[in-house]
Amino acid sequence: MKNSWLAILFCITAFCAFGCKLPEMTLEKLNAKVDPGVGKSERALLVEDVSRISSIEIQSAPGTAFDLIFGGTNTNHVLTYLDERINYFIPEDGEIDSRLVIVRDSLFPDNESSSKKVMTMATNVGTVLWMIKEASSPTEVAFRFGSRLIQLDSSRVGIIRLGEGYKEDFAPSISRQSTLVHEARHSDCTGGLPRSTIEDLINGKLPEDPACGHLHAICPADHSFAGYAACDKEAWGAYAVEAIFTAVIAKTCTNCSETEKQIALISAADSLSRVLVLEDMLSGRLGPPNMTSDGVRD
Amino acid sequence: MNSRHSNTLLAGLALLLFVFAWYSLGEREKAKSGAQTEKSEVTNDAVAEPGVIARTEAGAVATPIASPAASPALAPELASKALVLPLIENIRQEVAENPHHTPPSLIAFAQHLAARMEHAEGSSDSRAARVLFEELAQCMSTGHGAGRVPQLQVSCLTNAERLAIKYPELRDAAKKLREQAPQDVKTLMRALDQAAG
Repeated sequence: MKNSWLAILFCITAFCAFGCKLPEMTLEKLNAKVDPGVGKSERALLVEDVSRISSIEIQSAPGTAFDLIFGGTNTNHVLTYLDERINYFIPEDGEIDSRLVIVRDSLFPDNESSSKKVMTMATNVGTVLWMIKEASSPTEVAFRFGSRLIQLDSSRVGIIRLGEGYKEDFAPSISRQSTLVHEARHSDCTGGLPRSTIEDLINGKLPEDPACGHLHAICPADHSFAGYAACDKEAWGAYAVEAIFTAVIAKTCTNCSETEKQIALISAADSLSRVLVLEDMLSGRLGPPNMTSDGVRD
Repeated sequence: MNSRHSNTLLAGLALLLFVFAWYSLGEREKAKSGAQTEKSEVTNDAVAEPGVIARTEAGAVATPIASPAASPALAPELASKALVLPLIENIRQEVAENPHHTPPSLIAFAQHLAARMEHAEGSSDSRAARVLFEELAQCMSTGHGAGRVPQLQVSCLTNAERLAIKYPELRDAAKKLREQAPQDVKTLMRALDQAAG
């Protein structure tokens, strides 16, 4: 009898010690779910960053780029913008392919990163997974998140993979916030995904029009970052949206520290320098920001 | 092994696992409540007299300075150290490692500049501001062609102009800096104002 009780106690403690991961978590102020595999330090940083975004006080006027992009003139609108585009956070160490119920050969450079050391802060993998799902049609493809399957119904499925850089010392909160704003823009398939592009995807070719997913372009020869996929050749892409967020903080924040404002300033200058159509975009010649997202079109 | 021994062994093992499970649960609660993570404070070791701009060695990555999240108050020693301009080679290396986000050495520069600006603007006289202004002016003239970092110069010029608002004796020099700035820097300065609405 005594032996049985001890055996039961042993099993319970063993299960708790080795069987329990961190529970799935929903971020307060942002409905995004955090995967059980995301570590406690990254969770704490996410909580801190989302909370800070909502407390930043800025002065923005109706009709400005900030208003048109985020749908309002204060930072609570930035949270709404994030909410519409980010739904899940997953850890970097998780293999994406192993989470796909139907696995294809990777169309995105997920597995390349293990061979050359690249430290990312965060990557939006949702849009590419949605493209994979469309390219696999009629085969159904879903994404495993914890114990459930997520349907990859649109580019705004919003799956963000947190990189090793997210918790590095070089990434203060304001940089992480602007990273979330940047990655969220990749959830928009502006103008929709043409069926012809899906054919290209099946053949392993990336889309030529960057608007669906706001894909980056190679920086030209006369650019400081020549040769790297670190520029945008379109208006109002991820760098432009990030630049508007940081520029407004740098110039108008009334409750930011000097450090926050200086980092926002250099981040804004850096992001603006990566927009290859900068003057045409800000002068309005390329039209206002289109913040909509569409599905597959003919 | 008799049954008394095996009972003792099993009980000991269970106790050990119970302690471990208790500890794990405690850690989990801490994560849930969004507790601040511990961050080590890294200081910039580059020492130079204020007023003389320092540059990092080619191939060496500028050391990131303590993050503001870790220490809301800026490290006081930074306020008296000369600015360290990151080199384009280092920045490009950082972009190669992580193309999508602002390079760490630019962020480290911004953190250092924040400490210097707070010190300069908080001083009772204009001496610290004039010293810093000189360094910012050097930042505008350092590096030509492919060796120049326009993003960095935007930061330098913006701060030089801010100092000139507070200290009128710097106004003419700030105006000259803007006039002599490279075209791409002028474009970015205009874009920054437009972006901020």
